[in-house]
Amino acid sequence: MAKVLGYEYGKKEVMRTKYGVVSGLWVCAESQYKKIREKFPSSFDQSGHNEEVLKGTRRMLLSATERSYLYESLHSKHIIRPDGRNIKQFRPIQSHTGFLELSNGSSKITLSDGSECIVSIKAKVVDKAQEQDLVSVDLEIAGHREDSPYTLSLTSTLQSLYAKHIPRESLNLTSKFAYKLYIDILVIATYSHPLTMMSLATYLALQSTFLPKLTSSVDDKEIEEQPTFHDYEFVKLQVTVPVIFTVAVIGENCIIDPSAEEMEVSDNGLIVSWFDGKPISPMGTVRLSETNIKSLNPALIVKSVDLVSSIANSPWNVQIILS
Amino acid sequence: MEDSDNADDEDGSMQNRAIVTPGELVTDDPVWMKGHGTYYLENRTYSSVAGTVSRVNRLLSVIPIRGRYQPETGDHIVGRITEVGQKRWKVDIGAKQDAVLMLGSVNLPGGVLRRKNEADELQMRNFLKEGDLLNAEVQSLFQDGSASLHTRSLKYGKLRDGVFLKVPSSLVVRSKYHSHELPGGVSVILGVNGYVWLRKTSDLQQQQSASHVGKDAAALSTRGNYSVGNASVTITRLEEESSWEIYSDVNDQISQSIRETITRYANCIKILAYCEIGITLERVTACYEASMAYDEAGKLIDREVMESIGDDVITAEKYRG
Repeated sequence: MAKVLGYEYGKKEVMRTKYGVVSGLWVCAESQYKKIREKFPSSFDQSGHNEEVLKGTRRMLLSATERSYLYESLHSKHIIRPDGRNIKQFRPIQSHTGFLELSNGSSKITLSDGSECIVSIKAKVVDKAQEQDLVSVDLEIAGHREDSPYTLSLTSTLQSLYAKHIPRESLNLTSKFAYKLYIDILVIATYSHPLTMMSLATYLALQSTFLPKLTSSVDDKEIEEQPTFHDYEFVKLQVTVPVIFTVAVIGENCIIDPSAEEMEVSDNGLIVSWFDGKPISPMGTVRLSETNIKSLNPALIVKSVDLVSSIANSPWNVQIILS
Repeated sequence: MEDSDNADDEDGSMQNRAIVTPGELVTDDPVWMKGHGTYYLENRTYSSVAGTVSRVNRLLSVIPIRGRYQPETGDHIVGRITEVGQKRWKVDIGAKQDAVLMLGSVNLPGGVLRRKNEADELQMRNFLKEGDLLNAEVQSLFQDGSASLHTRSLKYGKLRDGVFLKVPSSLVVRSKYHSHELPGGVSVILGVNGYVWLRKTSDLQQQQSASHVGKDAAALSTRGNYSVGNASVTITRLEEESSWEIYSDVNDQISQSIRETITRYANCIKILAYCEIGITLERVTACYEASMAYDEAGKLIDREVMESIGDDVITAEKYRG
């Protein structure tokens, strides 16, 4: 059975398949997967964002007068957001952690607009020599097929983000074995861009992950030994986790955490990932609305990064967001 | 067996129990007629929704606590055009089906006493297009419960100069008036279907409310000298020119302060909805006053703040009696 396996970001590739011409998508049989992966590593590892992929976001219908009212309010120097927030303010987030009995860590967050997301973290003991990545992300978005370009692109963004930035040492067990984390993200409903919600939920889940305590020796280089674990004692996972922020750009203004209406009238959108006090990749433009996309002044990218930094680097703010 | 035991219990406590859940036995007395929100199995009447039991004479029905809006003739509603079709628009009013607005049920530009023609049918998108918001009245209901709307009054028509928000339709109390002027130069249309439009009070409206004078006097004051000779011509021309304006897509100039007031009112209505308080003009005003304790409208989205303001509104109402 043919299956969509990856996405080409750098350059447009056109393939002729029995499904017709597919551009940018690799449609192939499972057996060919490895070959293609070797040939075009960029299509699997690169963590850019393709604008076309994000058409999956639900379209919001606005009347012409509503649109111009919103745009003017957000465009003016003295910015007025439709719900009165300031440019740094998030919508209220409700969260629960550790409610899934069968996983090592879990979290659920609900946004005030009804968007909802559940994350589960499961750990498995693997042989370090055989596993390339110690993190695997699986994403399911209600209303989208798992092999849709929208879901695939978000999965690959998160996969590369976490694989790169969750340190291998923190998952280390012995000199031979390590934990591999399986991050399962289920988006139940989404009315605005889901990346921030997913990354915050994953952040919370990873911060409340407990792994079985190792009782056998850490050093198994000399003697072949399977790791054994304590029956009921768990150790809290200590990791630093990157977070992705969404910024909408309207005129000269940048606003954090845009709602669906704000997304619809925005000129452009940016995602900024934050890790360890500095911006990291993926960082780039993201399509927040179907129409009305304008080019982006590079000065505004700097402005948005400043905006994110003022939020992310203030411990009080992060606490507010994640409390 | 168990069922019949249950039935006895239910029957005994039926009188004082106000709320029933779906599948719950309401009565096993066959004399009751089955109304909305109930179903009938083996001589017993069960509730099909969560809500309160209502008994009118022999008619037994359950009024749902929540659910989609059910249109009734005469309701003042706010809707959004979803489709432009043959001589009709489809309007989303938050009901089970989209409502219908016939081309013949709207005011056409060029005078009230005008028949619709083929040209109108071809330029329907110039009047109302997909996404446009309008307020209208439910003219009649079809057999399947969907509504037919009309905008044949000056108070209905396309909406401008403001923002739209949704609240549960069950929170909007049906009353004589659904269009109100609020302090601060803002007007609100609280659609019975739970769709709300907040806008800047138009200059025309302000004039009307400032001096309660008749139509002619208002016309006199706006046009200055009133002379009999050319009046009839001017009035028709005025109508012709201004009537296209009822379908205009351009907002008035709206000042920063009005925009801020609108945002605050929007958050106040969301607070009432969050606290499950029925939304009326008095409560919106009271909530607005209570919200003044917070200098920024953005603070009104926190749950604690919303709850405390909701409590304030309720206690203030209790004091007044």
